Amino acid sequence: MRSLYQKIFKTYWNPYVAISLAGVLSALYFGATGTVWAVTGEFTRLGGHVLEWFGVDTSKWAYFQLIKMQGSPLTRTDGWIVIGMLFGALITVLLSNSFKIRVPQQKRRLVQGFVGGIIAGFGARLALGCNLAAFFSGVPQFSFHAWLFMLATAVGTYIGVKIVMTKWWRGKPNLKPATATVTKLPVGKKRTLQPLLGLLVSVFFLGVVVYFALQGKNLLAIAALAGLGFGILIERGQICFTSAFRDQWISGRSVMTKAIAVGMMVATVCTFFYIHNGMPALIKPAAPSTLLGGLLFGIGIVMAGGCETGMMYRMMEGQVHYLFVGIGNLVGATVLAYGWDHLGIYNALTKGWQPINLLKSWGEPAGLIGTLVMLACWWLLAHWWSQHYKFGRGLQVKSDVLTARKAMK
Amino acid sequence: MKANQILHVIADCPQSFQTVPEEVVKHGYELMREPERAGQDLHFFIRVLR
Repeated sequence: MRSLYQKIFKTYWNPYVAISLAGVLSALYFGATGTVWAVTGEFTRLGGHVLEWFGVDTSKWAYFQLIKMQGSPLTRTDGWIVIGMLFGALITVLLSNSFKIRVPQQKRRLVQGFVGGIIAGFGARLALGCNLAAFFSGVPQFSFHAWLFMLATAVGTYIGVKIVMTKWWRGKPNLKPATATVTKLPVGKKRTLQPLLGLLVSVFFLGVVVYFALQGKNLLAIAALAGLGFGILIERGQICFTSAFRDQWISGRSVMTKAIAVGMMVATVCTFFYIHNGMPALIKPAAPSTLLGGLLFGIGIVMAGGCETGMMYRMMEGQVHYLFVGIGNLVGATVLAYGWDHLGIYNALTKGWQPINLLKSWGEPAGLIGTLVMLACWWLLAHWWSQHYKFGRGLQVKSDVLTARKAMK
Repeated sequence: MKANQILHVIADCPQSFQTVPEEVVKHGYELMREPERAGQDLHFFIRVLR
């Protein structure tokens, strides 16, 4: 029992396993509700609610009509996905005793996170989805726009890396000389408070789910449970879409990229089953706004250090930085909602462009196999890149610990 | 930093547990021992090889 607890909560899970489970869960969620795992649409609605509290009449804004503003986060499935994710992440953070209020040493990080968050939030909504609906759960819907988004995000993260590698962005590290090597680490006090709180929070949240079920609000119960599952999986797997793109440019690290590619293949196969049996696929327009949105999203997530999903579990870890990123996401999404009709963004970048369903354009077998082949190519490309990446700095040794150790002897 | 000097990195972002060891080695430095956790902080000992 104890060793099982250790295994589940004291170590992070293999990202391949975590993201594949998320792939299965996202397909099941689609099958049960007809909607996909997504978060930024709800962020935008939340921004709309905030404006309403301040007396702004948003009922005529075209973007809010497009994403539908009825009810509140507490009465919408999309709302409970977000709430569930926050709770799921919080529960595993507490159970693993990892909560800590973390304030970055350099205060400029907070501003950077906020600005990056705005750009990422704006870009995501411009493309009508973030790394989830326009990517992780968009590709398995066979919506071509997700591929455009992905490509543009990759380019955006490259630009983002160029920005964050500059001196004025990085600032000075806090380096202190030490006289002797520290061999003994300070022993943290053994505390059971956090796991206990984690247990209480899980009981409370499951109570909410049972309440919904008893009230006959089955969709909300399903959304809350699915959200809980997603939150647990992204936290335990430390699933980071930003790292999946950014790390390739910084160090050629490709573990997260390959794990996400595999998770998406799993999601694609499972989702195909539902669409084949008559569930309508959710297809979005493949337009210039998708490309521009992906580009901005890529730049923004690298500047912020996390995307809309990564931000959520890191906020629950107590990282103050990501509170700023989250608020930035909300602001950016709301600005886009305003500009959609008021600044003519829709007319300029989206109007007249059609949604492309790969299962319809290519036919079902080719659409499925084509999508899987493209994902496999992405995996292979990431693998090849990680093997051949040349570092600008540091030594060039083969990439495993043993080689580095041998070099010492 | 010069050869054989040791950098002791203290991080409190949980994700560094996954990324730092891999990137240290990829950049050609030596991770002297497994990352250790003390409370919510992570400690890494990195040696400059050349």
